[in-house]
Amino acid sequence: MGKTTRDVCVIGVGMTEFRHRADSIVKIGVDAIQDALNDIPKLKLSDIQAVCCGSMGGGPMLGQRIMARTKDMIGQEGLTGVPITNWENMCTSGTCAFTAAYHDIAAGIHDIVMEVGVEKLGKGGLDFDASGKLTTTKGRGGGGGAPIAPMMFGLQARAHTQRFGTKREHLAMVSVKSREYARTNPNAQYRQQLTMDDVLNAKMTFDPLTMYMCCPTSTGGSCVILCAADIAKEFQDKPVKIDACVLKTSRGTPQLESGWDPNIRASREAYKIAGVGPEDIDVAQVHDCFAIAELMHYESMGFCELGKGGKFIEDGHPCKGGDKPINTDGGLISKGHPMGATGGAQIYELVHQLRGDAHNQVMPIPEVALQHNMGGGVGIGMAYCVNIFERGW
Amino acid sequence: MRDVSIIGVGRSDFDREGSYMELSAEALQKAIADVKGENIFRTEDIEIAYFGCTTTIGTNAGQMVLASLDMLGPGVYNVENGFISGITALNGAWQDVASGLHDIVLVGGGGNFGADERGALTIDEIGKSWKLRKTKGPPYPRFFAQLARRYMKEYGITREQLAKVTVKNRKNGTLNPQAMFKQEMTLDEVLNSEMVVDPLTKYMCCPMVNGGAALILCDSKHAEYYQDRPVKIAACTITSGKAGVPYLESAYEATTRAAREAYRMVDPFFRARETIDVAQIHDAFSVTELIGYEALGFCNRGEGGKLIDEGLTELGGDLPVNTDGGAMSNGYVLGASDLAQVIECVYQLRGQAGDRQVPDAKWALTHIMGSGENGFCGGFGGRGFGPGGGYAVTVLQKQE
Repeated sequence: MGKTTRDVCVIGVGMTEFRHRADSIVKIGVDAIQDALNDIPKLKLSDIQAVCCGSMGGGPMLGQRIMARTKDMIGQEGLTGVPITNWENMCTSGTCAFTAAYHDIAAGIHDIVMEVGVEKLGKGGLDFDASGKLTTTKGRGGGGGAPIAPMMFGLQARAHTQRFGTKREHLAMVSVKSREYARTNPNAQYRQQLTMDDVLNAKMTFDPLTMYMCCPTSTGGSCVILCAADIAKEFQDKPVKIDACVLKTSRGTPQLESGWDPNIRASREAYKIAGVGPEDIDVAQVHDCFAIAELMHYESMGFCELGKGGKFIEDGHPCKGGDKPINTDGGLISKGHPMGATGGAQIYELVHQLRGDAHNQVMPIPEVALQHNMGGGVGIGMAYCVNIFERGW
Repeated sequence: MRDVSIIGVGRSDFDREGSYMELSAEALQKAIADVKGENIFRTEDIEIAYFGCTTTIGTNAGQMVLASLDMLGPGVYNVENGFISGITALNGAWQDVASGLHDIVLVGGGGNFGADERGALTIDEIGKSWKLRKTKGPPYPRFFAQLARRYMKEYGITREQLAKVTVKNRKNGTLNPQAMFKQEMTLDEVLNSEMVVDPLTKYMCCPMVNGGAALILCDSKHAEYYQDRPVKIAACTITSGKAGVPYLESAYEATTRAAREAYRMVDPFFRARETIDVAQIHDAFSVTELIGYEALGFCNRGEGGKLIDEGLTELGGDLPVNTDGGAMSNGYVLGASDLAQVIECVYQLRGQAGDRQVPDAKWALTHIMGSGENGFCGGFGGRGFGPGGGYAVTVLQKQE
């Protein structure tokens, strides 16, 4: 753990809208790349020297398949013959591909590297078929009982309630806040507003989590273009500097603790590398796959004391107009969660917030931003990422 | 950028038994044991891990392996890149240490390819995953046979020269206690074995197996503290195929580009043929090794056959290639075979290669390539190695 040999900036971001559709996974990837190229007109596709692709269920060598189609679909001469790598880490696949691109530039191997994250999923809960491939299911989960992910987080919510007295209303506030932010986000899957009653009286997925407290599966792509800091200004007037990229796995801690342990370790290390603290973060994206996860991330990221996540949202800190705006694009609950693309979409939102041109612009314009992305379930390892960004101009 | 060294290596036996979990865990434990003593290095010192695997095994494969050893805690990146998954994990780890972010990084890789019914490697259901399937027209042998026919016609390469690759590699395999096939083969046996796709006979194609491999990397400055004989990664480059390259040329172009970039990274005036002491070249099909000689600059275009006729690449020759027996003796497993090549080079550079030791080896090279749906498969219609795929060249140096 330490400082890198040279600084790296994000110069361009792009994403497709998140919604279920019939487009092929390759087309969605190319669309995201096109959007990122539109973001920086000074950069040609052929300026990019390496590509890192993130996807959970995209199949073998997805990055190669996407780049092979750039020539037909983007119109410039396309981009072939560059190093292409594919990264899988469940819901953090995109963030891990992004981190790989960051390492590449930080080590001085290449100067301009592109991350593209993409996922295509059906409707319903996540599941694995008999051969271990990723699918979605409308019915019950693999074991014939409740769907796996809501069950893991539902049990966590029960434990949190038991220990700290967190109310169902606190969980509902997360969903209501999420929709308030999503209202102006053209890329979000769900934009209609919800009231507390709507959320609390919705269909129960796994007690105490109702339907609206769980993020929907989705289809979409995102793309981030990274560049060495010393030449970033040539392409982008407002490059966003990457301060820290940290990845951890959990250590088999019990139910409730497993929601904190790896996230606390990751955020602490990220704060240490970046030389900032939770109080310095002006805007954040946390992985709100379920409402309880978001409450516990407030605690893990150090925005509030342990067990006070419910109080934190009750007081309105992360809400619109609050002093610690969180998930300003609607988060996973409203925006949708196509695993490989989620990391890039979080970065997309933060970069626009730092530049000052986001749809839900936080005022005053933020200077330091935090991204948190986690993958896998509760207490069984997986991946937990915390990245910190700041203005690079 | 910092220099990076390999301080520990380990691999499982490659065979048709076992699962990737057990085999990768075994390799990982061997790599940890390979680093100097208990009090100098502990598993807690590992700051982050990179795991190379392809889509036949589930998500979060690296985490599963670490969990089985009770080593969770540090982050794990899972990398997929088809045939070069393992080396891509190594590349990621190398960049990580080189950038100064982490100091001690674990690289693992593994796969299950032998447990299924025996058959040819194919891609299942619109590119969702790899599958071994009995088929009349196995896609990879068909493609490489087409390449071999063209290569033979263009440069006058003979069937005997193709067979000699297998004979040489199987002979080297007899000296490797971890190889799957430890029997020598004669030229006649190779030539007269069952024809898969003309001109490639059964023994000119490698079998698919299960296996695991692991390495531990450290920044070069501190490497000697952990390992008496550290090996430096002088260069590690990955590239992919370009669109619009003529058919035969496309078999060389991407490898040559990767090699040239790697050589340049070592030294602008690097002379591969004179400097490299031992090399591991992709030999999933015997024709790829011959083309590899030429693409890597070990001889002129079309002289691959001559090189093997002269015995230059045999053990005891000037430039021994595939000293561990290559894929012909070890079989091929996506995720681990490419790391096993690096491990063999490490053994050679440390002087630990036993009976197959190349005397006084100082520089080593590995080459691997492969592709999924596009890339080589672009060649199914006769269009050559299309865009995509993965090609990697690694240059290793004995650290003095």
